[in-house]
Amino acid sequence: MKVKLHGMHSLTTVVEKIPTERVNVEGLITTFEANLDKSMPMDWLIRYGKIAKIYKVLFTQGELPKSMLDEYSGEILEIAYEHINEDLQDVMNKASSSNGRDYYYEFGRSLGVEQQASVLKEFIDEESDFI
Amino acid sequence: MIRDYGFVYYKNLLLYESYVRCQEYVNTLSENPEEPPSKGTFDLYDDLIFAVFVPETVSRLCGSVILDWPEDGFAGCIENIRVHIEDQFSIEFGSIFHFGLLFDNLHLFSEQEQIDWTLRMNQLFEGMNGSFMSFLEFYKAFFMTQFFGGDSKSYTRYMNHMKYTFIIYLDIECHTVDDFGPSFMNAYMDFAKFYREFYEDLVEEIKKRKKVGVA
Repeated sequence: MKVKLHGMHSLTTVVEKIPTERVNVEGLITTFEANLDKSMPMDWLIRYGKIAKIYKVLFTQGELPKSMLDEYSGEILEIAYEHINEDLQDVMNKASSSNGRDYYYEFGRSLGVEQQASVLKEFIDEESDFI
Repeated sequence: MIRDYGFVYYKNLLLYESYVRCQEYVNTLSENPEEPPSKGTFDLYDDLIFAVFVPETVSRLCGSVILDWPEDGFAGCIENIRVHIEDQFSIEFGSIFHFGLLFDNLHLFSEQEQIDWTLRMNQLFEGMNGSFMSFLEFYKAFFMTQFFGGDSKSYTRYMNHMKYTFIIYLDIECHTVDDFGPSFMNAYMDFAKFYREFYEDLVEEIKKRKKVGVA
């Protein structure tokens, strides 16, 4: 079935191309999610989480509670010790990671924004120079 | 919000905690536990000076781990070397680990077993960083010169003892606090555990063999 674009035919001579295959978005997403674990080793994530927690408590409270010290292995404390730099803001900012989920979130959010923007026109006066 | 203590404070705090942790762990293994260092002993807000507190902390740690001391003659020899070395170099003796029990009872073991035990002894120190040294190597590197008269008979006759002795030394000019930071403490905790296991096994084995010999 040919898609009809109102009025377009009379304007251009270019032949429209219609995609013959549907893109299986759901399938793509499941593949992404399945491969997610392969790219991000779980123990590294856990370790990262622990160190981040140490920094968080250390920088906000000024000391580590005893319960936390008992809970964590020496190796974690060792890494935490080695990575404290002169610029603490650097330490806070540097160690960050994305597991891909925030990408989906951003994508979804941008779709939402687009939709809102399209509706927005109806509520604004034509004379307004808001946009 | 980040509190404004500065990074030195945080580093020192983690360092201090690692010392306390290590000392507490060592105490659980040891018959002569030592108090963990108190917070008053070093200034958390300032850059730490290596010579001020590290030697004391390390010698405390070693003091509560050591199970075996050298006999009088060899102890005198070590003391002589120590006095001369500390006089001439910026090196301080942290502690001496002498495996006298193994050395005295080597004749109870067969040749292969001797090699195995010696290997196991050497492996105890493998995880530690460069501040550990076989005392024989240390002696050859620092003391066996004509300047000290280190090649005289009174020292060389203990060379076999030295093979079964290990030293932890602190170079005040070259080592920094980081060399004896949390990574050292972690390695030391492992060492303390394996050292104790080594002696437990060794005592058991020697007892067994002596009984057989008497019977």
